[in-house]
Amino acid sequence: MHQVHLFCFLASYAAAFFLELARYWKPLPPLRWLSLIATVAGLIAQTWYLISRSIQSQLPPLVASNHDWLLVAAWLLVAGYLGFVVWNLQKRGAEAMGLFVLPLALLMVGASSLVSNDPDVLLDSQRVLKMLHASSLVIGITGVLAGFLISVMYLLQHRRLKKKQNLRGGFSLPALASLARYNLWSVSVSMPMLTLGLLTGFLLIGGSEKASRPVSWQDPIVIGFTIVWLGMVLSFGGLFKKRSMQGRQIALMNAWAFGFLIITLLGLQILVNLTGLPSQHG
Amino acid sequence: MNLRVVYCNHETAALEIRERLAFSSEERLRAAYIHLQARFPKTEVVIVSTCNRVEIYFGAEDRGALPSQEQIAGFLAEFHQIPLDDFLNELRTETEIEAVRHLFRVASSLDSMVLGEAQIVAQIKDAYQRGADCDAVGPLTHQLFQAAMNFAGKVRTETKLSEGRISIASVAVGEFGKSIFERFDDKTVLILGAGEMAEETLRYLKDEGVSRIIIANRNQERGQQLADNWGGQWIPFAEWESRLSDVQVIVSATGASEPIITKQRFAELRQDKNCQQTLFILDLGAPRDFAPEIARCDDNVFLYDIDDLEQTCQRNRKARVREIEKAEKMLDAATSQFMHDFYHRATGPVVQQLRETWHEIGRQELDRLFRKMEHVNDSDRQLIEQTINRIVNKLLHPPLENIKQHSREGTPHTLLETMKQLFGLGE
Repeated sequence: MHQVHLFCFLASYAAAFFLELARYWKPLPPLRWLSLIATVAGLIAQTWYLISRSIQSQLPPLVASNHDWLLVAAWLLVAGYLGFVVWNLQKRGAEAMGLFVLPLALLMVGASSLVSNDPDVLLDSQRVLKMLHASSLVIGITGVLAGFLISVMYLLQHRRLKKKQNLRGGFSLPALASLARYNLWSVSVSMPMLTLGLLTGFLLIGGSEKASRPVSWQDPIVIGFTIVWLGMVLSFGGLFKKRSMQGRQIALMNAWAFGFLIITLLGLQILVNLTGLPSQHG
Repeated sequence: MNLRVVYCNHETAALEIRERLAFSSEERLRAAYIHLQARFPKTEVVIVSTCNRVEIYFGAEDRGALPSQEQIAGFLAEFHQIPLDDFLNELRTETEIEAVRHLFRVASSLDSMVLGEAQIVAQIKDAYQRGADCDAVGPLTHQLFQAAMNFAGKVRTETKLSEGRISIASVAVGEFGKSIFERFDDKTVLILGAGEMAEETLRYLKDEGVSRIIIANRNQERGQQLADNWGGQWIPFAEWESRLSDVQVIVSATGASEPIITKQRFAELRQDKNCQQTLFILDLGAPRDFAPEIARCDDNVFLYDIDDLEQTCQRNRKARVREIEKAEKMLDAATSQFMHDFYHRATGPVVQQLRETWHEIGRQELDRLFRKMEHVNDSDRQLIEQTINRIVNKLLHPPLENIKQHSREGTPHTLLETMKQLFGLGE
């Protein structure tokens, strides 16, 4: 039943994405509405899927499994995208957002079928801390994803303006000033949330030492995430110190840092699942 | 009609060539008129020099007096001190009806980079006025330019060519400026030059909410007047570099004959910590006011010149293709009408003389008849008069129709001469 539902919203997002692609070639207003309707339908199906799973496992979606966790992150991304599009419906600039957000949402939903969907049997202990850990990480990672997309959009917009290229029909991006501001927001939200997620993760590891199934400090996902987090802190620390840094350089750095984090986390998750390496996060 | 236009525009020549061929100041234009009048004394001349085109119109009573394209190219090379080979291939020429059609196209903005722009009519009007001030305009160019301006007005009112973004400035700000800044009401704009182009740009920027305006202009009176009109502040032109740190948008249309700032100088100014903000520069001058290399100075500088707007204008053109078709039909009709009217005016004196002479003969014969036939009552008299008039008109019809037919293809000089001799018409 769950697989059918997963396919439902996966298909809706795919349809919305293809409609966006069609709109890129022929910017007809009905295509935009159809794409939005398909996205809304997908989001409703995804919400229903997450609620169903939560009821079935008797656990909140965020902590039920890595599968649910990824789907929550994808849900946040799509909901944020829809909110932005509706908010900017009459303004120019949001037309091409779907071309960036929808493929990533599809990727996340697809990846969720490759990671564990077994409910966490140890949730009863330290429930609050685990909820805090999972929710801060999901917000942080969603912020990272959004930041990555915003940075890519910034770089494309910047390139277009420098190359003096015309706006393609149906493909307009927000102004550089707006993208720079959104970029700053994404860093401001994701970094503290990722830090909080990491700290609560350390507390959970420390607290689990006396438990029947302790979480290892050598968990590959913990090690990988900590290294990337450190790299990001150093990069962004330098960024805020160096005031003269230009918008394009910031976007370039964000795209690299955020992109690297996403690839590391997704790669490690899939690796752990496929190779059977010992991990509480696999 | 003896008419020739030699021109280069945004479609035939790159900005670099147009810059070199442009008559960039009032003094240069007046000097050009003096040179042209001395070189081709029996011709009428009007020079149209804008950022997108350089065109010289010649009219002459005697066909032999019209200069050839080579002669005009020679003048341009000599006047601007440019080797002929640098621009000869970029020049185009049209004569007679095609020259008329060309000017009508230009005036109605069908030939403009931004379709439907209103500015070009004013520029054509100014060009004509300047020609008149220099005593270079004659009856032919007078008729031609008046008709062109009337046609431009007709196209503007009867088509939707001018709807939406219609000026170069508004296209530039709408397509590029709005992709850089999300709002303009918190931006400071520096206007370099206080000409028509600057005013046009200001109008659009004001609509976008700009409130802080600095105008740097060499002529204080003009600059101050513009600043007063738009709620801005005038500064001497020499001070503009010192205000670079305060501004986010620069609109430049100075008419200077060479760039007002080099890349090296600009880079020096940008090294100042207070001067590294995002900068949107709209260089509407031809020749360009900003060295093109400035665009590559740093990531936060976005420089656009006239040619950069070409692509946007092409899209504009596509969207209005239906209106273009309508305007093109109007253009064909207006050109034919102008030619017809012109030739009609040329044949008019002969036709009128012929008509008057023959009717006069009719009247004289009637008077003689009525003197001999005093018993004829009024109604019979009227009947006879009508008969005679009909006979005269029927006799006049073949020669007049002939003149009309022949005048569709040009002034029928030979036919008119023959008519004069055959029927004893005076000059």
